[in-house]
Amino acid sequence: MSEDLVKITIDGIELEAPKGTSVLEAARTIGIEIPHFCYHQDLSWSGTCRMCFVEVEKMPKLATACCTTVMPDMIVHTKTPKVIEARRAVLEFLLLDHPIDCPVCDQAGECKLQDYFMEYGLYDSNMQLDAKIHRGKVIRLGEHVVMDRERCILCKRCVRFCEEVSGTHALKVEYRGNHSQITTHDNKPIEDDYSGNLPDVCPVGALTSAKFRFKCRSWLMDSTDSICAGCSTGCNIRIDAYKNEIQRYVGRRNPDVNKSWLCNEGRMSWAELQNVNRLDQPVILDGGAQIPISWNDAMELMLKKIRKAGAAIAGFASAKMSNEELFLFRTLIQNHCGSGNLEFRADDEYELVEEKEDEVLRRKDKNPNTRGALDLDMGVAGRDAILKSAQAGEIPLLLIFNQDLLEKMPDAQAIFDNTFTIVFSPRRTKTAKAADLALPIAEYFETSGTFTNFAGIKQRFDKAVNGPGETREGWQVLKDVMMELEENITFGSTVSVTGALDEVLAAKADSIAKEEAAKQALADAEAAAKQKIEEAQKQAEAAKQQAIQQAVQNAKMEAEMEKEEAVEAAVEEAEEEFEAEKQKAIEEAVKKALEEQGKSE
Amino acid sequence: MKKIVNPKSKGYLIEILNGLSVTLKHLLRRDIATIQYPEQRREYSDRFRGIHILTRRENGDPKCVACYMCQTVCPADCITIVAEEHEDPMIEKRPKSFEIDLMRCIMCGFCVEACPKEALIMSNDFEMATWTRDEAVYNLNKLMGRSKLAVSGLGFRPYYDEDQSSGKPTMVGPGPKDSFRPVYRDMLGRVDAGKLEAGTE
Repeated sequence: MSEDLVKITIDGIELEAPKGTSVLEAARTIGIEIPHFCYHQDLSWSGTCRMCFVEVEKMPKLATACCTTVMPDMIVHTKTPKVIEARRAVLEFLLLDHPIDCPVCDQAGECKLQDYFMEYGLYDSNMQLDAKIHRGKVIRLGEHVVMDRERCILCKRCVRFCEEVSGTHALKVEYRGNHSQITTHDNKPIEDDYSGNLPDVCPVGALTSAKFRFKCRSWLMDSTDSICAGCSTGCNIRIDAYKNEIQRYVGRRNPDVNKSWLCNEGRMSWAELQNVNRLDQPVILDGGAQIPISWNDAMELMLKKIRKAGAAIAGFASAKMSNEELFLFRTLIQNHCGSGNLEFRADDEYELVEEKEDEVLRRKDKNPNTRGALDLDMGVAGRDAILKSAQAGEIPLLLIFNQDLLEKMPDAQAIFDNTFTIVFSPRRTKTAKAADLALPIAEYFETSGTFTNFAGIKQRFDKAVNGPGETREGWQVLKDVMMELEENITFGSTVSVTGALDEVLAAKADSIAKEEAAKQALADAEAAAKQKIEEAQKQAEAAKQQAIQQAVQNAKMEAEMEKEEAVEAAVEEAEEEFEAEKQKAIEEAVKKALEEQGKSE
Repeated sequence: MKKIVNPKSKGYLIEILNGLSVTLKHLLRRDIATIQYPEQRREYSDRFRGIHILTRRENGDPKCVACYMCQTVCPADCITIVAEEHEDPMIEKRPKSFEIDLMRCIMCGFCVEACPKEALIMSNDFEMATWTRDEAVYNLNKLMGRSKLAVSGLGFRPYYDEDQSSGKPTMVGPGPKDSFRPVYRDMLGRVDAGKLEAGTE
């Protein structure tokens, strides 16, 4: 057992949990769900609701499982009569003034109060119906949230969300004790780009979505796992639809990408995408007017044009396409037609793929699959090159896939004048209106596939609703075109396309890795050679230096010796001179003395 | 074994007379089952499941709060509700449209049982033949203002202790309280019998 793991026993099951986890989290790992309101995986622990009571041996009272950390040799019981009695009592208190308006409450069906009442409560209320205290109902807190104070259980999840996740501190609890209530600061509406999460965070019906309010009951909808296509973050969502109409997006938990959250922009993005300005049948441009034609005629025309154009074909993809569509599109343009005129960048947004718009989720690149397009090398030709050759009349056929070219590149009008353009578009964009042939394709929630988010995480989305009118899924159209062109293609679903795509990507990664390895080897060899040369140079330098030093030293020594000799000689000479002079002086003195002696005598 | 009559023996005349005597007997009977519909109408049970009625509040609005319980429980999928906001926050929700497709309806009465507000009950009216299909889809107005109700009377509904003799086109005011109480068991399987008996609202 490593030091970071703690051994505990929950309901007789021994398990090891990482140090610092709560009993509730540890119980979850072995499939024991402890009821709770205030605990949320992506928020801090608060312990306000008291619903998660468990019995821990050697503890005097019941403990809240959500904020009791695991301790060595802890023995926890989650289903004893004492615990169940406590939960019943907690529920009775929480439901004391609760209005029994489940029939009109939007939370009904996904409400924890309902679930736990059926599981633990089931008492008869001691509160007379007319003795219940009434509080504010239908209080609008900004654009996205409606509050009902009667239903609130004061778990403070919403307050913690505004403090910890969005950082706006928009909500607070005012007053104390029985008078406590959730409110905004100064009663101002919530201005929070993530306020759409508040109804999701609320475990009961106190906060409901203003946009989804009364649209549909929760149990009637069909849910599909999908990915938000609002920006390059790629938040995981659940699409709830009723009778082929999308009703709402809900954040789906993915701790690596968006935790449980969604931004308001992404949450409401479906409304426009699903219904506004949809292209619902193939149209052909005839003398300025768009005339509807059948898919069969449209396919026939497209195939004729592609066969005729051959390698001179050009393709303009977009970062809104799924990886599967991109892959099929690339295969069609590059491998089948053998054309290098492939591009997806209509503007410079792709450079922002990793740029954050704020500190929570949003990114500046508003395309879901820029990373995927870059990985697949969709940007080959350059948009100016395509524009130029189209202007010169070198491109007989241009396929534009889900790209509003005219909106992003106003000077692209020349393309539409000189080239036969086939536009695949889910809506009647400027480009689709200018196209010689416009084909209606599905939005991302009407098809399946994968998006690669900014960090390179490939995430699958599934079909939630059917497209309007005669729209077809984009990948199917591309697959059919290639099958008609006798390409050896047998894709049954996007999953098989993803498989083929993965193989190509893996091969590419492999070749890149090999190239890198070769480069590395070359660099290593170069570095080694360089080092050797350097060493040799160093050695030579050192030898030279040594020789010079030696020479200098020798010279110095010689000079010193000579100098010494000279000094010695000079000294000797001086001494000799001195001696001679001395002798002379003595002699003279002696002479003088003798003379004086002689005089005196 | 039946005796086969020989046609040549003329014995069949006796059989014809036998048959005619049965006819004559019924001709002279006083207690005939046939009634002169539509001038005459049979009395139906109070639990007869005829065309639906949406009951009203005292101000004439529908009692319905658009909770979708009836739509959810409907096995024939014949109820379509669109909800909207009610200006009164204590009511909160009301039906913007409420349609029952009587061509699909199988008259099972589940919707009446599911309704938490006694907003949907049934009448004794069974005459739902129409000239067009559209007429058979009853909307909010048609379900609330039922002109033939005076003739047919109320049918299947949650409570019968009020005297609903006949001919009341709308049910006004709150109905009697819930007299049915399910036996709940908690997780330990205990039945809280004492509380269940004592707890009357």
